[in-house]
Amino acid sequence: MDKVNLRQFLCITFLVAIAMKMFLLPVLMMRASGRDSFLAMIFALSADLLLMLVVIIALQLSGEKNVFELLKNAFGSIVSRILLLLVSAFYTFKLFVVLADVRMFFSTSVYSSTMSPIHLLPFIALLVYFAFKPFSASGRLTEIITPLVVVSMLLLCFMTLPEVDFTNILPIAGEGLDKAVNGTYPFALWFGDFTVLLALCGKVKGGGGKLYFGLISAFVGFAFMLLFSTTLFSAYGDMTEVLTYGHNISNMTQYGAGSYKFGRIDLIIYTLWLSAVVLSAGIMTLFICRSTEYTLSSKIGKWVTLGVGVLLFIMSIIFSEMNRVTEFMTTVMWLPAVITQYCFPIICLIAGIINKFKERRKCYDKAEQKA
Amino acid sequence: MERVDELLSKIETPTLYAVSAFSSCGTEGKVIASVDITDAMALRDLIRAINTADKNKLTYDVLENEVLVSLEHKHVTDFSEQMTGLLSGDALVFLDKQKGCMLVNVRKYETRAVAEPPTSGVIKGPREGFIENIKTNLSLIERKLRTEKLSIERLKIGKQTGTDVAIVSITGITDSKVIEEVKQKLESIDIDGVLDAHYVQTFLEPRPYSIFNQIGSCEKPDVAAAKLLEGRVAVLVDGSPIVLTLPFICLEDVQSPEDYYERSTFASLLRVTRIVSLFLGIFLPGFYVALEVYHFSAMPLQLLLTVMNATKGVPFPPLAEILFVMLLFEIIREAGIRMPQAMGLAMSVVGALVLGDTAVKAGFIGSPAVMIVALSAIATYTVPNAAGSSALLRVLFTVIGGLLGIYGLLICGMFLVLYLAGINSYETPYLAPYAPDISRDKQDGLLKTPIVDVVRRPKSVPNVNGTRQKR
Repeated sequence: MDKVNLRQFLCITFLVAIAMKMFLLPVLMMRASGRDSFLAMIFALSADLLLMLVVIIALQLSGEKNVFELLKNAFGSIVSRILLLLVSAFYTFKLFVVLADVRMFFSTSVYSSTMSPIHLLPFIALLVYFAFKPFSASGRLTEIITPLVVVSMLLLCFMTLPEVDFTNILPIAGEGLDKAVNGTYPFALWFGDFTVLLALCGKVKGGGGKLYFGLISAFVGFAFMLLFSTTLFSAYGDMTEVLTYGHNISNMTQYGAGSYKFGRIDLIIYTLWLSAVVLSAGIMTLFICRSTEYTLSSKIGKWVTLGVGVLLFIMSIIFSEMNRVTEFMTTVMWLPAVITQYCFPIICLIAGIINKFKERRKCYDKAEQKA
Repeated sequence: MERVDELLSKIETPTLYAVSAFSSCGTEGKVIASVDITDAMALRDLIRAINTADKNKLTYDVLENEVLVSLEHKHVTDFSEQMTGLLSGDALVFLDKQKGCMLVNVRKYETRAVAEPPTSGVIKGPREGFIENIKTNLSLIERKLRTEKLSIERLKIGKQTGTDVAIVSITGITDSKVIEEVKQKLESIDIDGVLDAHYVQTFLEPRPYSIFNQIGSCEKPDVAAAKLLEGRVAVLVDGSPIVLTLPFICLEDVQSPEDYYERSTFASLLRVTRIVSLFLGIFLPGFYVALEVYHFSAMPLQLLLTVMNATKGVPFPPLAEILFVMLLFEIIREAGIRMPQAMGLAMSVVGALVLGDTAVKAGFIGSPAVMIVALSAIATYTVPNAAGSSALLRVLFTVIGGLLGIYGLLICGMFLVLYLAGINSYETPYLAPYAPDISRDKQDGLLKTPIVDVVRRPKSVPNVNGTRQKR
């Protein structure tokens, strides 16, 4: 069966909420906004919550229709195909961002002596495998990994929270809101993840009004992220060394309390968090595969996904200078990210409204004919 | 008699069958039966009953209703049915100038006694086990389920073996769609011989090439009866003490019959122990190698120093060392099963002490490696039904851990879970009741609920009557 149930949908929402924001993002935001990263994070997460609301309404309005059928009934076949293909192309690039995140973290912290694209190969293979499975398999996987992710996040919070002085983030917006704003839009690629949930149009069993619980799920995920990020912002927000010590969170938490007594358990915990990233990336791959199946041909979808995997691997070899990649993402790609991730759900919402209107019109016409 | 001659002419070795002519009540006839697989006394009783019959004329009706009343018999006219009966050990009674023959059950197969199966030992609870005779096995199930709703459908599979196969279910509980699907799959088997239940198992599984069990198996009638009561279908194969049950969820491998004969809190503790053991068995060597090669900083300092001292001077890298010890263990295990009993003790000493202890003292391998592999290997045998797949996964995760560290273990683990999440055994999700989450079925999941609280049948197994008890 190619559907997820409500519980699986809530777990997917939670994991997607936290996935992209764990490894590089907090550090990148700190470089841009310093201690005001806390405010920047709140702005961005609030926008994402609104985005989630739009996505849920679109899912509810879609009924049993998948995303292609939803758009096709409203805007016609050609426009819907173009839209889906463009969004799929964007998600192909966003997958590259995910890979860059993972590569940056694991290559510099763990596998510094070996060629990093090689470590991405199993990750890419897993993403392609996602596309070969029905949604129900992804949903069941989510139910298994969500408790692991929650436990690992709680563990890390408990390990670091007692040692942190949260007053370090004060004063909030001490130098005005400019710094906070500078820490939002350049990182649009790391936000707006809920758009990918539109792949689940017509694929959520027992949805209806209960889909709005997804907002709670997203909020809980964001709360976790904010707590964790604020911990780091408070602990390291005014450290100038963060600009030179590297990009990733691991290089900072190695100085966490107890790391020599108990060992670097945080490395194991980050690896567990990676499962959320894998899941989120897997949903993106599924989106690309299904969009291709809907727009081109059902036979081509899996081959295209395989091609996307190969392309991602080649891109990770070619574009290996991570500083330049990050710069490109934050200076050039932020605008396409904002347009795609925040406009596409609105387009789907409009499509849903048009579909509802057409259905009511049909019912009304039928009733008139009968009369 | 031409019919007898025709029958014997089809048989490659007619001397395996004895023919006895008789004349009784003015009727001529012949009895044909196997020399080896019939009960001589029953055959003698049969011939005596025919010869001493005091009737006007001997017909099949008279034989059926008046002469052969103490023997199981059946009038057949179909030639293939006659041949099948003869090859199975039945005696055929032909009456001259009358159509067909009487099939009389005088079979006698050498079988062993019903005893406790070696792979399903329990401390508390029934100790009966299935044997190779399908009739005995069916009787054991019928003794447990004394209901008129017990449905047994029989088939013969195998062109050369003609193996009896029985599909058992309970009408009013089992979903008929599952029974139909099983029946269809069994009827479509076109093979020369079926010698064991495993032959049939591969045809019933949705993914026959997978390393994971997708069909349950049991050797005890109480387990089979319990599974039938949950809405499952049982498949019995003549010649095999293993009974197949389906649909199947992977949690069944972790369950033991003893869980149902112990207090539920203790049973829950045992199940948790088995799950933890299974995880240790599969992941421990890979995790150890990953820590040693890539993440030694994740170990507490004291433990790290201990491990480093223990592995000082070992010439092999950690991955090679662990794989070598695994290979040693598998050799010892396999040899322990195959070698003659007389040599068993001596070779066990050689294997365990000489190979293990001496290899460590010589510095070829480190003692942590021996301890890790031994612990993981023993841990997998807490779940013996999953031992095969666990052994393969253990090697896979060890290699992955050595090449890619914990990150690789996670990716491989997610591959595994995604694969398992995609398996459905006759519309039952393989990872039920945890993925998808089915709250009702968790009463018999990782933690065991007392029987008094088990009111409903498992939702994950298709059934037509969800109520087990009224409370």
